[in-house]
Amino acid sequence: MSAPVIISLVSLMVFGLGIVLRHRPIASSMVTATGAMALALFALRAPIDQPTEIFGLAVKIGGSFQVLGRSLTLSAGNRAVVGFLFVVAGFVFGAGWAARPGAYFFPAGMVVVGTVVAALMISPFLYAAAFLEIAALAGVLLIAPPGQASIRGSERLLLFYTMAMLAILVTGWMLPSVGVTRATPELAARAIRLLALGFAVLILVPPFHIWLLDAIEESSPYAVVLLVGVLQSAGLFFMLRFLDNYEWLRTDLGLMADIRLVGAALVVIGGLFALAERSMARSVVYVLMGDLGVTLLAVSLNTPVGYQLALGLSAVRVIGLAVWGLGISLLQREQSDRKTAALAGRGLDTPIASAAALVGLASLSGLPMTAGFPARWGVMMALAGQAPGVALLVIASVMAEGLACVKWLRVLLSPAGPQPPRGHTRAEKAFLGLGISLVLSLGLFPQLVFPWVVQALSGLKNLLL
Amino acid sequence: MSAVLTAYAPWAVAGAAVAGVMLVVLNDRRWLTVALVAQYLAAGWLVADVLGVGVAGAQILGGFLVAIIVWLTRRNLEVAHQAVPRGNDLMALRSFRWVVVLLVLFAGWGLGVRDWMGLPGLTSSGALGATFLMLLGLLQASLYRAPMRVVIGIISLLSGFGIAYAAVESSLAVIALLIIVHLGLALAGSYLTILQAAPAEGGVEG
Repeated sequence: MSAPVIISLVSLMVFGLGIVLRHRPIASSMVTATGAMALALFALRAPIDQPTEIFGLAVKIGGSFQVLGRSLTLSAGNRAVVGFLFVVAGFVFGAGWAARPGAYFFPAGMVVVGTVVAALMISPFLYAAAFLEIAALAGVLLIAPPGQASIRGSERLLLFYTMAMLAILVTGWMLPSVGVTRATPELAARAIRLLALGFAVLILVPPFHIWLLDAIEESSPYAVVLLVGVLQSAGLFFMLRFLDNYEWLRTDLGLMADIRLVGAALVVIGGLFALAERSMARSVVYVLMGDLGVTLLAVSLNTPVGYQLALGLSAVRVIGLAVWGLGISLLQREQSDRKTAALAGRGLDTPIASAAALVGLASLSGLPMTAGFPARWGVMMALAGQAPGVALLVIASVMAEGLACVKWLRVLLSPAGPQPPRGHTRAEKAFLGLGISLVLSLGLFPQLVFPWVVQALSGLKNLLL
Repeated sequence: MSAVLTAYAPWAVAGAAVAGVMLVVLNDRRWLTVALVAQYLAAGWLVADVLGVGVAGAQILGGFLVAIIVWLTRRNLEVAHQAVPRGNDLMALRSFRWVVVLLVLFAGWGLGVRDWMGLPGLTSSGALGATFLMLLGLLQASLYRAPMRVVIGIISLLSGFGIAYAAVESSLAVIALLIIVHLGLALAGSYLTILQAAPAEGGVEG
């Protein structure tokens, strides 16, 4: 049996159990988290294409599976990323019962993660676009659970991801078939325009971020966090694979300048709007946009260190998002109003949930002592030599986003009128504390993440030259 | 068989355009289902000479399933399916929708006859049919607020793309993936429509 088949079957089994247990959040959470962690362990450690012995039986797990002339492959090039996605899923599912993101969160989340993993394993990798579209289709169940559905967000997600799929599929045909190279500038420009459209959707470049603004306000923030975290990570890795595969793309200085320009624009827009927003959830969308801008700036360095920083940012972003998502979900559990006034005083009656929301936000903003800081600092240092003006923009955006954190801290600690007593269970507090500790630990010891980043990039050999 | 289909391809283009227009302008459940089936038949006709009648037939079969999902959803939730156009009241006027559709048809004709996609192997009929469906699909997805109408717009966009893409990529894997996406979109539209209707009908069990 091959590794992709094992991953697919186990994912399906976990999905089925998630459906059966959908009205028992704790059981569903435990089953899906355990399944995702087991799959992560398998992806990272299983002996692929080597004879081994399991319970006395000699077996050989193949790395590839053929379907309709295309192959799904788990190889050294993608197993670190596949493992990372399952670890993220396990982490998010494990705390999901506390956030109460809807009955279909666990099974639908498993489908999203499984489909994105298939997108990372499919060869030729251009077909990944279709898998990402299917992941977005499953994502509708995440952001539109009964009772807190984001209908508009779902519609826009579907439209945008369909457009991205079409653009990337056409580019995928153009690049190998039409002979697009530096020597064919007109065709190259056309291919780059289409690719830019596709990746603008995947990386939330405005105006393609509006589905997220709708979804994060109307739906469960925790479910949105899983969807956006997984899709983003896959989108970034997909982009790096494009750059790795096509030499003329990564050596196109104009393209790298454009990526830097878009990155700088996202950093500025993210910083300004994060500060101006009156809803914490929407504020986080703009902080996230700024973080993605920094990621693009790291890519625009076009050096192995730059690519490592980009992947490092992607890894810690998911952790910051998850911790924020858990904190804000617990803060918002008993209220429908998500504007500033509704959070007033919550820091006094639910301090741990408030701290988690703030620490997650601070990590996304790249503030010192949090998981988001080391990689952002690395990007700023690398940019200082090449483009000091852009490095200053990054510093300014960190400061603006830091001010946004202070603003939300003041809101959470501001005196509010008499409110019904709210509390959290010990288990909820334990998960919140664990999340906060993780963010702070990774801020102090970034080397805990770095080996994974190096391993994930090792499959993209051309980017390391 | 394939030669006959190619010879009469302009009829399929006309069929695609009429079906696309009906999908944008009309709101009756039966006519919408008929138009959706007609759109899939026209798209299947236009790709049959490249992909073969069998594969085109599989695409049409997938289209029939999509139409059944749309029809069942609309039949069960007729009240919820009074499509709500986006924007101001002007869009709610059928006459205005006709004007917009005619403008899009003219734009589609202008683009389609110029081979704007530049895909080798794409016939003039294919280019025209694909352009009509993509533009009308985009129009529908942006004009309406009801989830099923938005999804039908995306499906039209995808059908138009499928005609053009078949000229350059005939891999069964891609075709299978695209059929899955069509069905997934229909199911997503149905799910969102049921959710939207839920408050009026007493809620949906989680």
